[in-house]
Amino acid sequence: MSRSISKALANLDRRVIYLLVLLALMLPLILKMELAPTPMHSAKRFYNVINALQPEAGKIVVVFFDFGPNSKAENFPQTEVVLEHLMRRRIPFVVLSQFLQAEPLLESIPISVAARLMEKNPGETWEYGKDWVNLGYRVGSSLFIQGFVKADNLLTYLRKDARGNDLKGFSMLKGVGDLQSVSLVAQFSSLTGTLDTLLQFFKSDKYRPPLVHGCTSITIPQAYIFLDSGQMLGLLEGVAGAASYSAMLDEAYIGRPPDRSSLMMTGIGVAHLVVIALVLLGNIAAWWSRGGASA
Amino acid sequence: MGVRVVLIRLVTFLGGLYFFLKFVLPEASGFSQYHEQISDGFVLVGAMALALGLINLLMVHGSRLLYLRRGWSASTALLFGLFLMLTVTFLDWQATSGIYRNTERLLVLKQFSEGIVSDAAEGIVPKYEAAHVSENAAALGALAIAPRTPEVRVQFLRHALDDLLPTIEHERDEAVARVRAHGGTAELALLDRAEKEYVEALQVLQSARVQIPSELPVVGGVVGGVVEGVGQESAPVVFSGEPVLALGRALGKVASAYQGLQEASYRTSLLRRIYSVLFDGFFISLGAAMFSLLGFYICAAAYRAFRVRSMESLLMMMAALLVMLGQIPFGLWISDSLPEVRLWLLQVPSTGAARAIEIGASVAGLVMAFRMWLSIESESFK
Repeated sequence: MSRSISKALANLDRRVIYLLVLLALMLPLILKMELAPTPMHSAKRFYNVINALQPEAGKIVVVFFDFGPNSKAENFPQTEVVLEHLMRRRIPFVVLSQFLQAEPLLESIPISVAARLMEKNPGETWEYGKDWVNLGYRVGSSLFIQGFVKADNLLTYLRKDARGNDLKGFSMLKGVGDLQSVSLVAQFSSLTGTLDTLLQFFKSDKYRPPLVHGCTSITIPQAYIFLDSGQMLGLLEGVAGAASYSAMLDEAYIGRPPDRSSLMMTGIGVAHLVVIALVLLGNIAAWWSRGGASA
Repeated sequence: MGVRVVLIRLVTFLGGLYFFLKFVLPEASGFSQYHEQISDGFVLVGAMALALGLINLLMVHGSRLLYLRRGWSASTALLFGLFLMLTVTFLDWQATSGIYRNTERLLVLKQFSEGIVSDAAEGIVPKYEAAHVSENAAALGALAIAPRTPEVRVQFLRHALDDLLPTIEHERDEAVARVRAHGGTAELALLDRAEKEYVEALQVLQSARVQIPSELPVVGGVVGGVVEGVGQESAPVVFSGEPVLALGRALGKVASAYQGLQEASYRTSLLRRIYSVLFDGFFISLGAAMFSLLGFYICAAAYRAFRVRSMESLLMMMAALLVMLGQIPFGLWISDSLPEVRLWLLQVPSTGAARAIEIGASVAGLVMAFRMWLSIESESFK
C-alpha cells in the first residue's frame, strides 16, 4: 500500500502539478482574496527616496520603462505605484525606454494612472506636459545614455517627445539644463543589461543622480549587489515589492482606492505555498520510496 | 589571408582601440571630440544589422514557403505576422503623427506668442516671419511689409488664429460626431473629458483674444509706429506682453484638449482597433504567457528534482523555503522575523555568491573581449 502511494507520488503527472499551480494562482483572483503584503525593507527605502523629493523648477525624475509585455505582470504594478506616488507629490517626470517593446506602455501607463487619480480626486488634474512627458523609445542603449549625461542641455539633446512636440514648449521642463537637472533615475526592468548600462554610464565626473530600481523576481539576487553597495538607493522586488509599496501609499493617503498589486501578491503567495508543499511532498515521496527499498 | 579577412580584422582592431582609448583617456585630451558622430555611426551599423536580419528572415522563410519545404506552414505564419504587424504599426504611427502634426498648428502659435514677448523684452526685431505665421499673406495687406515690431507680430498672430480656428472647430465637430456614433464607454469618457476641457479652454482663448487690439496704431505714417528697418535691432519698445502671454497659455490648453478629442476619435477607427487586437490582444498576452510558462515548469521541476541528498542541498532547500516564506503574506502567520531572515539571506550569502559569479563572468568577458579585439575568434569570417 505504502509502496504504491510512494510510487504514485514519484510518478505524479506534471499536468496535475500544472493544474494545482493554476488553481493556486486563479482562486485568490476569482475570490478577490486580499492579504496584507509583507513589509519589505528594500521597498521602504525606495518609498523614502521618492518621499524625500520636492517639486522644484528645473528638476525632473527620469523613469525608464525597460520592460516589455513578457514581464508586464511584474513590472507594471511597480510602475503604477511609483508613478502614482510621483503624481500625488507633483514631482514632474519623464518616461523613456531603452527597450523597443516598451513603447506602447510608455504612453498608456501614465495616462491610466492619471485617469484613476482624477477619477478618485475630483477637482484635481494631472496632465501630459505638466506632470509628465513621454520621451519614447530611444535607440542606441549605452551610446544614447553617454550622450544624455554629457549634454549641456537635455532639451536640446532630446529635442522632441514621443508625440513629436518640441520639449522646450513644455512648462514642466522649463529650466531643465544638464544632468544636474535629474533629481532621480527610476528604472523598471526585467533585463539586467539595461540596469548595467545605467549603473555604468548614467553619471558624469561631477554628478551621479540617485538610482532606484524595480526588477523581476528572477533578477533579485543580481539587483541586491547594487542595493548593498549603495549604487541604488531603493529596490522593488517583483510584485511583492509593488504590493509593499502600495501598502505604504495606503497608509500615507487615506481613502486611496486599492490597486491590483496586493491581490496579485496574494495569488502569488498561494502559489508559493503550493510550490513549498510540492517540494516537501516530492522529498517525502523520495525518502519513502528509498526507505521502502532498504526495508 | 584574403583582403576581406584583413579588412574585418583591421576594422575590429581599430574599433576596439578607439573605445579602449576613449575609456582610459581623460576628457581634456580632446580624444572624444567626435564621439557623438562616431556613436551615430555605430547606431547606423546597428540599424543596418537589423535590416540585414529582416532580409535574412525573408530569405530563409520566404524560400521555405516558395519551395514548400518542411515547416512551410510555420514560415507562412511568421511572415504573415511580420508583415501584418509592420503594416499596422506603420499605419498607426502615420495616424498618430497626423494628430500630433495637427496639434502642432496650435502649439506653433503658442510658441510664437511667447517668442513675441521674449523678443520684445530683448528688443529684437526678426527678419522674415509672415510666411511661417500665415499662409494667406495677401490678406495681411500693409502688415506684410511692415517692420516686425511686437505690435505687428501680434497682428500676425491674430490673423493666423483667425485663419486656423474655423478649421480646428470643424475638425473638432467631426471628431465629436465620430466618437458619439462609434465610440465605446472608454472613448466616450475620454471624449467627455476632452470636450469639457476644450470648451473651457476655448472660452479662455476667446476672452484672451479680445484683449488683443484688432488694428495697429499708425504713428508718423508708419504702421506700428516704428521707423527702424526690417531685420535691424531696435531699442526696446514699450509693449505690454501679458495679454499675448495669456493668449499663448490659452492656446496651449486648446491644443491639449484638441489633441484629446482627436485621440478619442482615432480610438474609434478600425485601424486603431486592429492595432489594439494585435498588440494588446495577441502580443502582450502571448509575451506574458511565454514568461508565465516558466512558473509552471519551475514548479514541476521543483517537485521532481529538488531533492535533499546532501548537506549542501539541505541548506539550499532551507534557504529557498525561508526566502519564499519571507516574502509572501502567509509567512507573517508563521513568524514576524521571517522577512528579516529573508533579508539577511539575500543581503549576505546570496549577494556574496552573486558577486563572485559576476566577477568571474566579467573576467571571462574581458578575456573574450581581448580575443575578439585581436580577431583570435574570427575564424568564421574566412
